[in-house]
Amino acid sequence: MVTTLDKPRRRTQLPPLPPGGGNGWWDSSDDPQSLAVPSWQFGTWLGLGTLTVLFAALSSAYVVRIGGERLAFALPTTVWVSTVLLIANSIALIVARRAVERKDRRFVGWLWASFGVGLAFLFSQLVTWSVLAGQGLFVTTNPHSSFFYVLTVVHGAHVLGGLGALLRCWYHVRRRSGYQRLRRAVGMTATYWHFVDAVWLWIVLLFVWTSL
Amino acid sequence: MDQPIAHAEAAVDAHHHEPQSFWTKYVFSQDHKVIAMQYMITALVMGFIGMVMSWIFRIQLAWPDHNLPFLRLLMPTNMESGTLQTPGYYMLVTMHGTIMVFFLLTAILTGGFGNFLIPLQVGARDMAFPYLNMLSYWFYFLSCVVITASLFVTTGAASAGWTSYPPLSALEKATPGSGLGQDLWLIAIALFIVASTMGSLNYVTTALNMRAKGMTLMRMPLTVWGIITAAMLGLFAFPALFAGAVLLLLDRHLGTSFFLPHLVVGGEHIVRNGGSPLLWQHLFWFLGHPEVYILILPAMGITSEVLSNGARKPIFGYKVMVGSIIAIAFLSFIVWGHHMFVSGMNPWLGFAFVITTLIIAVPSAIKTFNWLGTLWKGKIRFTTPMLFAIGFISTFVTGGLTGLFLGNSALDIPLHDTYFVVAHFHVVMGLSSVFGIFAGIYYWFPKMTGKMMNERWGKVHFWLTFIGSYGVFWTMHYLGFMGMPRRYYSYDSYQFLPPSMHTLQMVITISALIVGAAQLIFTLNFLLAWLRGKKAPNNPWQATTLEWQAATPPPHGNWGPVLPEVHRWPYDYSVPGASADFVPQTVPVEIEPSGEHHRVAAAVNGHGQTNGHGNGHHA
Ligand code: HEM
Ligand SMILES: [Cu+2]
Repeated sequence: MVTTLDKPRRRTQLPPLPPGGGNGWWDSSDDPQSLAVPSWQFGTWLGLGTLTVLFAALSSAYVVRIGGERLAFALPTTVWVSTVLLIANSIALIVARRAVERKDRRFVGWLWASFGVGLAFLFSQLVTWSVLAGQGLFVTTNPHSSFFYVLTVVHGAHVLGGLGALLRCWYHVRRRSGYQRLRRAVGMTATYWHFVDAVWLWIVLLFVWTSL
Repeated sequence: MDQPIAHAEAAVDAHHHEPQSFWTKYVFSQDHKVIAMQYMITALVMGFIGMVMSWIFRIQLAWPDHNLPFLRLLMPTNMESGTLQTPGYYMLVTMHGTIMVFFLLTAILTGGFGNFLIPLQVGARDMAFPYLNMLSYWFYFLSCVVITASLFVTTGAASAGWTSYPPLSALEKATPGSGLGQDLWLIAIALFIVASTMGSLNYVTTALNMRAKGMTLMRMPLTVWGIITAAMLGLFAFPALFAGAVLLLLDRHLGTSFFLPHLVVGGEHIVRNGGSPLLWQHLFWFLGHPEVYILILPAMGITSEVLSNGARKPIFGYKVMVGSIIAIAFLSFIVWGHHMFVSGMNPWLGFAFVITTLIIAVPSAIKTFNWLGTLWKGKIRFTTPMLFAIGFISTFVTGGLTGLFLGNSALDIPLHDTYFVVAHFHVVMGLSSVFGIFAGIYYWFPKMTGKMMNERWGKVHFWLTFIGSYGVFWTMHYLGFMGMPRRYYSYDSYQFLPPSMHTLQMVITISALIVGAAQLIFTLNFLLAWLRGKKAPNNPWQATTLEWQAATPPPHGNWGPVLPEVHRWPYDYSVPGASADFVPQTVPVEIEPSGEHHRVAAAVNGHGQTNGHGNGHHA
């Protein structure tokens, strides 16, 4: 069933947002002297730029530290399960975002799908770590295992952040915060998750590459 | 479409939704002006702590092992006997550097000036993300609490230098400060990075996306350019140090070997394997070098602003100034290796870093040329902010020149880790940023507080600071040439250091104490002016930029009912044919001529769409 969300209220009727809304009454982003994208979107990209440097720094530290030495252990198969899960997550969020743009109520289901897949990913990561630990590979064992743990844990922290962002979307749905806010929240969340998913692919690629 | 109404209504909201309670108004405020003041005051307090530290270790250097009973009160754990012990000395220099670079200079330039000036100078009502902005301050505050608390732990604060090189910073047994103190140092830095990132996202987004009508990029004051470029540097450089801090914490506590090779310390084997201390140096300096430009770019912006105003002349070569800022920012990411010339790097790599480093001198020199061009034949008003701005040019040139010495690896190899380096970076980074900050404080204090600072004491403050600082750092260059190594607690038992060095050390310390006294004058002036200074007029410096068109101090929402509209660039001083020697940015070109010749046409045809609010102040 397709239900339409509340129509976007005209700007003139918007109640003043509580301070902290981002695009409050002070936002002049409709003015000619601004970027083509709204502030929240630009801010999100910029923030992701920062996170890109974080992962780039860790990755290059890894490459420098091993100095060409090959990966000494096989990646547990759960790594591939994790990969599939995160790809599914991105797809769910693409669908959710399109649904929101169409004001199609079913986006909520897709957000929950994304949440479930995200949780499953964390579970799969726990399995991965315990498999490695079972093989006697700990964070101190060798530079490969050290960086494997560091990169995946730092990435996992960002997955937690993504789950938090999904809960925030859900909160806006419950609170009936208005269409624009919801749209913004879902947009931001989706962009962020795509980034987190891409970083995962990068990490996998990195370890595949060092095992060649 | 319905924008005119939207803005008018929005403006009405502005009056209805001003935060009311004490807590939302002054403590957990989301108003950029309050956050700016919070940042500024906190940073100045931290700076004061950093300065007192420098007095103590300077006294040790001038009068080695002199008994100073008052020290016992300040630092009971490291000065039981009343003389500074070696660990206390290392603690103090480490904390001095860390506090000054991050907790004073970075915080006040971006958090303080960035917060105050960006919305006001681009004509916005507040930052793009006010809530994030508030969080930014409180994370900064927390980081200040952590770093200050680390002074009081029983093993002492971190003492591996502001650069925290491992293995000193990685091994608990390396120094007393490498216990809990070092952990707190790493945590404080991580918190600071989070704070700075949240702030920087705001500064850049606000300046790019929330400019008032007519405020094109090429009409932004150079302060805004300087600050947002610095913010970009922060966004793309700080994560490297964050990564380093995470890895170092793991080396310290989980027994990993990121930065630690196999070591024998005091006859004892440290079971680590293959780690590289140089890896830390790369991560640190990938941030560290951009960091120094995070400090200088906003100060350059402030200087440009104040110079143009004080010389009553348009800034010379505005576009080139913007281009130089961007060029410097870009280059600053590819020169970090010049801090590691003696690390045994491949000479060809060193050579590459020499080239990129020396290229930075080009945009720097262009900027200096333009500042001098701005002063040339100006009707200069030697106000306190103007004196500090001129002081900035002096120290930037002096320190930049010694940078050229160090940028050549052949010269750097003997000079590295001597007082020559200490002199270089204090003059070019420490003094220049501080002079920029003082220029900014004296210049914008009236707008921030509605009061005027005392000019006479301002000038006394300037001259004592200016002459005293040269007394400190000019002298240090000689020590450097004589081979005095940096970070030596005591230097009287080394054959290669002549006894005459002692005289120079005393000159430095006495100068440093004079400079310190001058800062007390500043503090008094600041506080007294705020409490009962003369009431400031709206535009005391007869300046052109938008913030001077707002009420003093600006209300919540900055502009009252009508957003300002911009009609010209920010440097219309002494325009031929104009009725006064300055024309505010809000005055239409039909009313007063503009010096922005080549851009008038573009301004008139704008981007179509008008949204109905003329300028509220000059119609
Ligand atoms: C012409 C421009 C400059 C050149 C060529 C240059 C070059 C250098 C070099 C080669 C070093 C390393 C010296 C050593 O450790 O042996 C150095 C250190 C340093 N420079 Fe510069 N510099 C320049 C401008 C600046 C500016 C504008 C700043 C800050 C605003 C700055 C801040 C620093 C700092 C903080 C250090 C020392 C850090 C430390 O070791 O604790 N420099 N500079
Ligand atoms: Cu450098």
